[in-house]
Amino acid sequence: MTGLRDPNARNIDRRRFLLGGVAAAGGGLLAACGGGPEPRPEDTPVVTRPDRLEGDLAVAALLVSLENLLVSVYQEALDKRDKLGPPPPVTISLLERLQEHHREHAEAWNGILTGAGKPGITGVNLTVKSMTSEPGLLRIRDGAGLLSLGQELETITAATYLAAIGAIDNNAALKVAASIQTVENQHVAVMGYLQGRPPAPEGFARTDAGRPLTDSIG
Amino acid sequence: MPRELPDAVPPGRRELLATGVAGAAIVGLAGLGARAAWADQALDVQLLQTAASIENVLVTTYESVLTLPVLNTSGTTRLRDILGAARTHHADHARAFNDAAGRLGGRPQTGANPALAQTAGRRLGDLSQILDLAHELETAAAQTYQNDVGLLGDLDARKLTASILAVESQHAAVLLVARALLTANVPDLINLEAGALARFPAETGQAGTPEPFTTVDQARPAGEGAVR
Repeated sequence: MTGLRDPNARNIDRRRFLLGGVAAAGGGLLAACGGGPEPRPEDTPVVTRPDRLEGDLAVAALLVSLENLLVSVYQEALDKRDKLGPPPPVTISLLERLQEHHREHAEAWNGILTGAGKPGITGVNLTVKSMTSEPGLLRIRDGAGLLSLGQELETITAATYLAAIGAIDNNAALKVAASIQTVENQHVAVMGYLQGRPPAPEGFARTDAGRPLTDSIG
Repeated sequence: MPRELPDAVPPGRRELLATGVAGAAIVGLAGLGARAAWADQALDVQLLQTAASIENVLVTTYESVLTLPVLNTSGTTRLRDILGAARTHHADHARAFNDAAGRLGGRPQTGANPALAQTAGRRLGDLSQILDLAHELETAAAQTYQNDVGLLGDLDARKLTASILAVESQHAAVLLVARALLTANVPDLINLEAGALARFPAETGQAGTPEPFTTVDQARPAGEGAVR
């Protein structure tokens, strides 16, 4: 299982996950925390990982990266809609709604990061981008393909939120995660329904598709 | 900051901590650590029993509505399948919540949540009323579990509740889409036959996910379904 914390672990050492300082590391994101030189605008985009932060902040960073990825994927799909059929109005309006949600989710987690004195994250989850969204966007030819890709990405995000809820220590952050996890699962269900699939195929959600803290962000 | 976030301290926990769990005074305990652990576990049991009581209402409600003539036509095949699957999910959820309560020393809750049982007892006429009722109950469940995630002290109970919360959210979303199709006067699209997606009114898909964050204002009180 690639989630944030071993689901079989008991007696988790919560002191590891206290909101704390940033682990010493290179990279522009962490440099902006005061640990190194400021990045120059002409530099190539910096790649970092959530686990360069500690505890709940690392979880927040991972979740922002997924939200940002969804925002960008849906924008790319909306930009090329004419080449996809175009998709039915119900699909387009759904993507617009979902994109709006993910922007707000990213803003919420960035608020937590900046509130803890860390910079907000504008990068996307590069690991999921290279494994799933980039090849997926190249493959889709119509609205059905778009819904399928969207559901896959929403499922990854929802599973990561589920894992996060089992890992987050700070109660305020836990409540934010719970209030967003519900919405990601709404997204999954609606996309499934519109494809003619069972909208809630299982009785218990799983963390299998969840992403780890070692994913790259950039 | 995101809008409409849940309250920082849910009133259910505050009340229970102030008065003592299940009405019993917390006396004669050695230290704050032991007292806190005992109180937390007892609260967890109440939350899990209340969750089971909610699931019990959902099971019986779906069993009842699935016998109604309006859900046994060719035009509602898919909806019937979805509600039938939901019924099975809720039976599994009730079992899981009771198992979790048992693991923490509590008894199983086999009864119905009293407040939601009253809600479910109202007379149903047409399909829109069925969908509205189902959505109301699924939402009460989802919001209760969302609230519980921030209350539960036992990590396994928290994970279980979150995994069930996800599924209730899925149920609620689909019910909203079906309801939107009724409101748009295209009930024949609920079955989603091949090629029908192009006929869906634009607003009906996004109707399933109206807000970026969900709230807990419809969460049931912590001890409402506790075994007395």
